[in-house]
Amino acid sequence: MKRQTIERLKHIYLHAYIIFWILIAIFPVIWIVSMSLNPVNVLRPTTLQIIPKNATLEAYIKVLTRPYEAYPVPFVKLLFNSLFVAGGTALLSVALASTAAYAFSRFRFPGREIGLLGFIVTQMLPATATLAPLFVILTLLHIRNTLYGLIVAYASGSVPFAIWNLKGYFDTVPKELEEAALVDGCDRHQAFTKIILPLSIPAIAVTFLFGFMNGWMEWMLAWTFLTKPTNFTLAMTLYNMQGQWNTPWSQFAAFSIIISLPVMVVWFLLQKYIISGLTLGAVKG
Amino acid sequence: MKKVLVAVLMVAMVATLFAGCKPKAQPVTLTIWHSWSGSELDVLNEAIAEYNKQHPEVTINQLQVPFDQLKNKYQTEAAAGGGPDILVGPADWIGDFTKANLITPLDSYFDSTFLADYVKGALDQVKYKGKMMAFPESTECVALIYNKSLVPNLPKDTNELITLVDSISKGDTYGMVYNSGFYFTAGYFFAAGMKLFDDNYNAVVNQGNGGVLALTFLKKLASDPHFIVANDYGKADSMFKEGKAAMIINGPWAVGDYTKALGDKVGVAPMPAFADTGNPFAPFVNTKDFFVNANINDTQKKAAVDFIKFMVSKDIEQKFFEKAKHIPSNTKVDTSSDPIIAGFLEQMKTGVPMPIAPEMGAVWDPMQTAIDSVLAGKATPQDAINTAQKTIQDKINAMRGQ
Repeated sequence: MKRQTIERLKHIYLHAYIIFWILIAIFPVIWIVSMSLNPVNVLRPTTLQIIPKNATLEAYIKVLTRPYEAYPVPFVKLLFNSLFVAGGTALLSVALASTAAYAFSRFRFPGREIGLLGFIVTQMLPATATLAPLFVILTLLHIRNTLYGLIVAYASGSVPFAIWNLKGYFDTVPKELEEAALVDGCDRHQAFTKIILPLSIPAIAVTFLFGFMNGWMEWMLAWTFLTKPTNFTLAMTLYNMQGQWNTPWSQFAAFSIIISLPVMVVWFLLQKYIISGLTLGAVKG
Repeated sequence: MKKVLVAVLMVAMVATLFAGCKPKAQPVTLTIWHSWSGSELDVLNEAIAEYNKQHPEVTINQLQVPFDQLKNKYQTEAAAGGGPDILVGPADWIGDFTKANLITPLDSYFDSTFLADYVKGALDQVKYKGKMMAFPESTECVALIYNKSLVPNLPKDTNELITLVDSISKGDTYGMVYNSGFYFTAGYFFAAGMKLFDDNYNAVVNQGNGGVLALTFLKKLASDPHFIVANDYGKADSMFKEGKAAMIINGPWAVGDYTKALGDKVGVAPMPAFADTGNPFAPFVNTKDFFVNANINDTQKKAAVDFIKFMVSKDIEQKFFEKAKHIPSNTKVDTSSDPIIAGFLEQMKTGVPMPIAPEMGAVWDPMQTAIDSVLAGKATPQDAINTAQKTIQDKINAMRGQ
């Protein structure tokens, strides 16, 4: 056999392999799209037609015009609330975690080890366990029934992981870089903001994304804390479509697709930072 | 500070002046939490609007909460001293709420002439330790829902059911999809003679052979290729809607969607009797109820009860029945127009009220495990029911701190 043919076969095999896995990965998405177009609310159709019989966009129109059944909150308001909460959670997590992680990474101080371990413990508690204390604390602060309260609650869940994540990354940034900066006349603060932070953009982007996703998708704390429909988020209203027995699956599917779009946008925006190189060739030679 | 005081006094004086000439009702704001959706929600909104016409001084705020978050949300808020004035939920929440002192006993608000119009079974269910802890709005139970174009005649007992199903199944159309969840199968456990509790709410599920009989029966259905027996609500639901299953067991809440998918082919009848004992299918009968928050003051409580009385009046319950297929707790409601509801009412006659004691919470998972393990062939009916008995009793003991 010629080498070319072997190469070609290899290519065909590789492509077949990749296409197979891609198909498996996108199958659920196709299923959801198909469900959202179905005029009959069927969760598990027994035959799979990507475009079902009498396909209609009615479900999309319905959820966009009245996402929360019981109260006329405009979709845009819910979108704004969600972006506010998710963005707020992400920013607060990054702000708190990057400074804390820097301290944990660079300084030796009493309680350092215990502090780090303590964060792991809070991570191990299921979200429901922190629900009651969060409820009490936020009520005492008079922010329970607000979006700010929600941001604080979500950040309290995502900060520990973010600190570990960022600390691990800061550890890989050579100390020499900072020392050089300090010798050149930077103070600690400048070394952190001008050297460490720009170098850590990939890790910060990941932390931001985690915080954003956390705030975007969460509904359990939100349903426990909030009582004003004008404060509701997209994830809450999506979850609310699920009835005790009956769920309008077409609308549920349509709304899930709509909700996933902003996350995709954020992901694409952050992607280049996540991929871009680590220390950008800082300590060559 | 002084200015404020003066202003307040002035307002108070002016107010008393006016109060003298025209008695005006104090404005009241009531909050109601519920998980009603679709046509139920429409009826609720209509009812609120109508109530406002009669009582312009009352503002009613309703909040829809997903069903599986509602209990938790209410418990958290009410335990912290807050929460809505009125809550809508199933009777099996009564045990937990009463224990934690989150709801108000309602006996003093309803007299016997008022209560005389309501289904006795429903009123019995909301009684806990001798006190009426909620007011029933509607009742529900599961029954046989069938596709009239696929089922030629209704089976009287389970033997007839099996022969019928075998004769009407063909190709990818199944005779019956049976949800094996304990809520849906309980009717046969009770028909077989099983009891859940003794008088002191200790578990007795393995006494007698009821549990074994029922589990053996379910296993027999599961091994018949013309039945689909699975604890899978979505699958059963989809198959029936697509006309690929001739019969299904489900409750009144599902009928709206089924008629949307199948039109007037949908019929409802009692489930066939249990052939081994000859007893009728005895499903759990549950009520949807109005609860009144224990944290609110007496004026609020009175206002809340007044609204509840309006909600369970003949007119409003008639609307809930006609538009949302609620089975009314008010006996004055005319249900004769609807053969579907008549089917559920017929089934209800042989039903048993779902226990509202907190001990009931210990039953669901172990019984489900028993059913699942027998259907999966991992345990014999006898072993499964013995394990269930032990797990339930352990849970009950743990609940009592023993």
